Amino acid sequence: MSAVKKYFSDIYNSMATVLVGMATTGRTAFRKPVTLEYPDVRWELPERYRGILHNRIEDCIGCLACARACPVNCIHIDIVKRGKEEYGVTSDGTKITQWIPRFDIDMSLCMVCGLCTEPCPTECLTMTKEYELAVHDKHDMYLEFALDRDKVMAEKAEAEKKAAKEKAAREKAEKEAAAKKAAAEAEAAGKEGAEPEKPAADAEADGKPGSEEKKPDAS
Amino acid sequence: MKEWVDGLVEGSSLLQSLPIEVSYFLAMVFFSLVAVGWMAICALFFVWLERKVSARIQSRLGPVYVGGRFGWAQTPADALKLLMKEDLVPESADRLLFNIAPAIAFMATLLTFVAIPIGNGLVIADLDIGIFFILAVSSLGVIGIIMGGWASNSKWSLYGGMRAASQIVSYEIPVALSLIGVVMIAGTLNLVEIGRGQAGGIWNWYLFKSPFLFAAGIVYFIAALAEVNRTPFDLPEAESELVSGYNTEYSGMKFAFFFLAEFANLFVISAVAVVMFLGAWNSFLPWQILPGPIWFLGKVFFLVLVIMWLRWTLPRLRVDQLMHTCWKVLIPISMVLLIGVGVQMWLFPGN
Repeated sequence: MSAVKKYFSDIYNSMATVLVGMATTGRTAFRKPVTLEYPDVRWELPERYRGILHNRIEDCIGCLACARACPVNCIHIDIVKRGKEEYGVTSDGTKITQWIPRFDIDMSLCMVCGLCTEPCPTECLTMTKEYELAVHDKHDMYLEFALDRDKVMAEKAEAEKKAAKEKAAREKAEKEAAAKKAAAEAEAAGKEGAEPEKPAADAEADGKPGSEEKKPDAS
Repeated sequence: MKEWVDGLVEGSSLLQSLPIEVSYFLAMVFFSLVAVGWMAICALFFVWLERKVSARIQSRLGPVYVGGRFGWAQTPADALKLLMKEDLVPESADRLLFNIAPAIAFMATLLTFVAIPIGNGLVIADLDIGIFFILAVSSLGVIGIIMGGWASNSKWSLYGGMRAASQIVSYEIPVALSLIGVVMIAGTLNLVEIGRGQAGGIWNWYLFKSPFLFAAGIVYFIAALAEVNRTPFDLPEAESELVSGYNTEYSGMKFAFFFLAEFANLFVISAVAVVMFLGAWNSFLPWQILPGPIWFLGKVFFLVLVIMWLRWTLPRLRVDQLMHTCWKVLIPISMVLLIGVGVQMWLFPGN
């Protein structure tokens, strides 16, 4: 008798559980899709997402803290220090006392742990939110951040020269404008116009280029 | 459609000048092309639908790019890709059998399309033995499957073919037994006549004519799923066990034929269920609001949707469970139901 009962209860159970399963899948069918159309739509990444590394080399002081922190030794830094030479300041005001001819990160070794970013005193080594790490050539995994020193220095000197030139031009223009204005005023007011020299003198005092940075010789 | 051809010949002097056999031959070619086209459209649409339904059930999106909206051109693109692929034949395969197997599987499905009425009298071949023809011809498909499994000379294919043979041959019995009940009540094997017998409201549909036929409808649905290798019973191509079953070694056009036949079979079993149990082209109200083919296709697509829903819900059965379900459950039940229908007809002869 129990065998007969089992036979029919099995049939009932199979039908009933199929309906339960269909109810479940029917519910999920009307749920909002959990997937995104990836290349078009992207995920909102968390604030502290650890993607590919990036170094703002202008702010790097070459302290080697990151290379020491790296568990897999994928950061290679060479530094050159020559006496009391200085190479400018970082954006937070720290003096750069050594040149960095090599700052390489081998992303094919990197395990994206983020330990290198923690000791960085100038916060120049950061993890970006870039997560598409695939490249066509494995050498593209080898990131080189070091700048060509001569070129940078030349550019810097040129930029300074250009800035100075612009400033001079601006001052000249201002001076001329002031002189013209003063002349016009003097013409309008008659013989009282003994002031035109004053604004020009102010401009001279303001416009002195604040270049305390020593220009390094390119050698 | 013979009457239609006769009428056309009578109305045209050009056709009258030809021997009548030529007209019949041209009509045959035309209607077989119609059947092939209709089958291809159904299969392409169902493949797309399957991908969309499975995606939604898994909370995904499915195809969205190809063809602009809803990825509607995804399956035509896939079909084109399959047609352009290299046609590989394994070195140790039996070339002749390997080449004709997909054609046989395809032909078996195609022939059933000839006998399915999609509207009142709207059928390519109005056969007096309609349902018998469909049952007989659709079981030819298993020959193609076994042939493909054997000729591939691969153990996966062979296992798939053997499983298909045991499964399809077994499940044909409950399919036939559950349909005989309807044939007894309707008193005809002609599908168009069976459809006409269900006109005039949902209570005239054979599914609701008798409690025995209601159960027979469920038995037919389950057994038909097994007969066309749909998922709770997809052992012949069990991906996780047999790579792809009987079509493992097939590629390109030949694989496309198997694939096409498989999805067209979906239409066939749903159409037979609709004609036999769900009132064919009749609306569920006593009067016909929309044209018959719309009702028919609506019901068929609803059943196809349910089949896909089942596929993405249930896991695959074990081989012994499959045989248990057929021989120990479905066949006894369908026999009891058959006797029940007979007793009902004996007790209430006018109904």
